[in-house]
Amino acid sequence: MPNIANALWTIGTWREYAMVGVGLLLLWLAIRKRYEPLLLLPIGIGCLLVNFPGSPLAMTGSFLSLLYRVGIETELFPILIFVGIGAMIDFSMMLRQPVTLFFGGPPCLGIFLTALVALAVNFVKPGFFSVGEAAAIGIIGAADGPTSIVVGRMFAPEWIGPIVVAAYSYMSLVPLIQPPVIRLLTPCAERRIRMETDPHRPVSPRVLILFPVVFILLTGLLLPKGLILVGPLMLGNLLRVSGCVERLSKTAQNELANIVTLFLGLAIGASLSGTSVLRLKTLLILLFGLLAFVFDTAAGVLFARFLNLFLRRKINPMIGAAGLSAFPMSARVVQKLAQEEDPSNILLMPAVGVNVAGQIGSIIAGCLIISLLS
Amino acid sequence: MTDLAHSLQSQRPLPSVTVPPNRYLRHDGHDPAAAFYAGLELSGICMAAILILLAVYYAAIRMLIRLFPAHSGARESLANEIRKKV
Repeated sequence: MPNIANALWTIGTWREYAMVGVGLLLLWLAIRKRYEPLLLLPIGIGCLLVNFPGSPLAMTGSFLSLLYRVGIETELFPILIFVGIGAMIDFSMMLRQPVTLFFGGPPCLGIFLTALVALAVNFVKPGFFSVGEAAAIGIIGAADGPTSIVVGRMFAPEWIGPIVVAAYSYMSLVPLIQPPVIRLLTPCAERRIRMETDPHRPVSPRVLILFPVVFILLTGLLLPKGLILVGPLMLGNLLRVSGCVERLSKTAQNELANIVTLFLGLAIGASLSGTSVLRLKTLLILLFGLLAFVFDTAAGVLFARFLNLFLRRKINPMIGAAGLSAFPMSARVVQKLAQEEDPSNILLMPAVGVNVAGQIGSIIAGCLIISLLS
Repeated sequence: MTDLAHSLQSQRPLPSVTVPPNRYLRHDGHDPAAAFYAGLELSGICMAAILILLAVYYAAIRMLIRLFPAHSGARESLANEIRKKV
């Protein structure tokens, strides 16, 4: 009888059972709380499947390990996701007011402040975080899943699971993370500032088409290693705006993005093995990821307040918080807060422009980290 | 399957994690002050470069907008399009 039992079941470690619990928690967050369900549901399932003691899916050669090797180690999945994101992004809001592009920069400060906080841990426990790991943790603050995956895979491959889970979880928690930070850093009177915007200001279709091409050309000239992120994003956008490949554009936005998201989630979930993930480092990665989002928001808001010192027509400093690239969540948060202060205040248009700029800012930050560290 | 992954990896033109560490990556944190200083330097360079790159992209966008101004009917057609969607 014991022989039969041994053949049927394997006694696991507490780490494996704990990760089964984590998998169930991720499923609960996805299904019940609707926190990024498209990603957290497959991540949760992947996590469950590899952590059951004796699971054949945890072995080398299983379909999950194949997905990880082919999709994550080669950076294929995040790059395909970028094509989908590019096809979904409408840059026209930013192109109507090009100055909003500059709001994409300051929130990147959160990425680097977080990396420095991670490096400061070494003063307490020498050798805890390398510079590469700190950069990969900081990039959680890019609030951009594919960028986090590419940078994490390159510089902290062992910790890619927690980094990606943190990035996607906090992106879905933006409506909870940002409002207290914004309220803390802005006086009530400034939150009521109205901004005159013209949503009907036209943008030439030629500008819309040339923007991704020029962006690729400039990145290729100035930051060639950054093409790994910029190329697929702008390819997707060109499919959208060119008007001559509507089928491809729709496929990139729907089927391609959905299929790759499913595989990406499963592969990331498969990387959450209890033996490697359940350590103090994971806890710190999750904590620092949250810190990165707080720093990003604070930097964006403070930058907008700083600009107000010099501007005659003041801007609402809350739009600085939309520079976090979590699109379109940050813009919605800003609009909601504005209407809480003044129900007739509409900030959505400038906030969306800033939000798109945040996407560009976070990609540039990722490109720079890749260029300087590789 | 492993062969497939290996062959894919060997063909990819992207930087691999197995390349010898550069001046930043060689800091593994055992010398906390040196690692922190490297992180500080990296942060400073990146933030300055982000601002410069954004300025370059901004100038390029302004140039595009100046070269290809939207025709006068565009505002009306856009407004009509929005009205239709609403």
